[in-house]
Amino acid sequence: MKVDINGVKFSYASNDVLKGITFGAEAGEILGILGQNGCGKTTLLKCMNTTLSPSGGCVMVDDSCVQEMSKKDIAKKMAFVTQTTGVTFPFSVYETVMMGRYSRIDTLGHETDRDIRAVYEAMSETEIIGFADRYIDELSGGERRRVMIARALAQEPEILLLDEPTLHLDINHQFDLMELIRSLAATRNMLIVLVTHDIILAARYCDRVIIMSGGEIAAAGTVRETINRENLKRIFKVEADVNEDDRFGLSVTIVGRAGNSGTAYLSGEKTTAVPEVSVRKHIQKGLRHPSDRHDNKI
Amino acid sequence: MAEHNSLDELRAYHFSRKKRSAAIIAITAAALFATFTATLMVGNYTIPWNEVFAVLFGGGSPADRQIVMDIRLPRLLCCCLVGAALSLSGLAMQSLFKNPMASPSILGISSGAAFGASLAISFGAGAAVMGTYSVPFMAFAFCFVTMGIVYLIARTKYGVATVTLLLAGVAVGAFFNGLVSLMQYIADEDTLAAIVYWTMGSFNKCVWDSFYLAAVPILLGIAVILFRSRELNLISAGEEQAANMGVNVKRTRILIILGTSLCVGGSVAISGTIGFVGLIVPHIFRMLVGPSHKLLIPLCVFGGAAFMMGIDTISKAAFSVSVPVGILTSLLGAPFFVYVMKTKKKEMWE
Repeated sequence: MKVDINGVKFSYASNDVLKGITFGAEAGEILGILGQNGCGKTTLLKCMNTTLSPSGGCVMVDDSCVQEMSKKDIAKKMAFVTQTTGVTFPFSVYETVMMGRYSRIDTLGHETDRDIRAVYEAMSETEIIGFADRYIDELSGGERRRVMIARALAQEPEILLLDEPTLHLDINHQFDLMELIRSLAATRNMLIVLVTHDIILAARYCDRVIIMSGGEIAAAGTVRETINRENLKRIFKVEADVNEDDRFGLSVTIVGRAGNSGTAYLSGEKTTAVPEVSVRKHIQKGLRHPSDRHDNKI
Repeated sequence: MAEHNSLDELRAYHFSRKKRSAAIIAITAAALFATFTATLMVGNYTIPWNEVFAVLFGGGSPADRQIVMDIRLPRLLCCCLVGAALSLSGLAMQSLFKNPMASPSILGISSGAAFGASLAISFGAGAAVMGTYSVPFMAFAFCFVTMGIVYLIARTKYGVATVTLLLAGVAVGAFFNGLVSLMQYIADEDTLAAIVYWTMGSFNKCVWDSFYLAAVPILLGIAVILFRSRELNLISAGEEQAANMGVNVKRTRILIILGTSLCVGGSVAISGTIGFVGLIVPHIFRMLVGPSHKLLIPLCVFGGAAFMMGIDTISKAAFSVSVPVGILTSLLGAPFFVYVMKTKKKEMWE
């Protein structure tokens, strides 16, 4: 299975959000999409599964144009886990995950043994099998996120799109979730495309990375090709230390904002510029980065 | 709380849920049947149940036969249709708009129908086409006129947003309510009484023709919503998420609104506007059995029908004159709703 994004464009009124994005990806890899707020990352994911209709270009999955496929056929190919995990009605976890079978259940809605098995596998992989009859509004943020991923897995997709999957999770839950994502890519041979603001996690867990800026691809390639001091300074305007770490692979430390520091407030009074406040996020946990086994296909 | 750690355990859990749902639906259907039989017996003149069954199966005395077959049965069947239609429409609107205050009147459809009926009552509009059926005809027609206006207002080049649809419905409903008030203001005494009586809702004038008139649109509307139960489940969890799982949200939304319009149009055509049923019946069942539409839709159909028959029977039997059911649905429904709300085990809206 392969995906080719060919010159995808999208505009909100006169605002060009995507200006002709082109890249390709294959089954079994984790592709990270990084970029500042408003650069078009989520819009790109939405164009990939036709939640938004691109104004130009096309998204090809195995030589079929996604825009010409029915909603159900798209749902069989790709699943999308959005940022929000809020619910209006408290469905049980089992009901919620079974919803993912919508595109594969017959018109009359009869669930077969295959559907139950798919739900079981999805819940087992995401480690929520013990929650079947719990209500979703009784779960923690991390557990809800797992339920949403389980529901997406119940679709049995070949492509999993994740929009900021670690949002609002504490550091250990972030690592747990990224381990799960890496395991899914390997065991299900899925293509996983994830949008994230977390450069450190992207460096640790992604196989390849696209960094977007202003609706265009500013950098693309393997993690080592894209996440480096120069790109982080040029695109994110931050100073960073990027080093190889024996235990964890690529280690990124965001030191501070590039250029002159801003102002700071001490004791309620505005002071003159102070030295950069170092923002050091050290990775204490995690496995070694998977080798950069993919050539740059971007 | 039981855990389901193996496939066999999850399978057993799945089938136990199915059995529970089937049992709940069967109990509600039985309650509907019991209410139906009981209400056929009750009135100014009580008929024993064995006599009721004798009449239903072609026997019985001529007097009982006339009361049951010509008066009570068509009226009860109309109650069933209207109760089921309004409850189901309320459920569909609450789920589509993810709004606990949504009811069949949320899109202004009932207000439009009231205006259509007022036109027929005041000026005889529609009489040239439908003769004595001009009031139900105009009410039904204006349901769809209103729906069309609301949809056109809400439509933009980017599509129809649900919130915009809701706001357009509120605005159009308010406009038609204003027109109905204006018509009441300028009406003479008899016309005013007729309009007010119609807007209170009643089954007093329901005969077999009323049943035939309403049955086709209401049953069609119920079928349309019934076959969208899975989509309603997904949409009630979020439109974007539903689309991601393969639901054609735009088409589903149109079908649900069409089904609701058919239900409401058919209902107001024969009974006038009856408030509160579409708001409380879905809430009561949601609080009792949870948010799954696979279960809620049959329960709202059976339960709404039973509720309306019960209210209508009380309106006939408990007072010296037949009180409009619209008054009793609020007076009796509200305390019952509050009771269920206070004793519920789980919050149903986030």
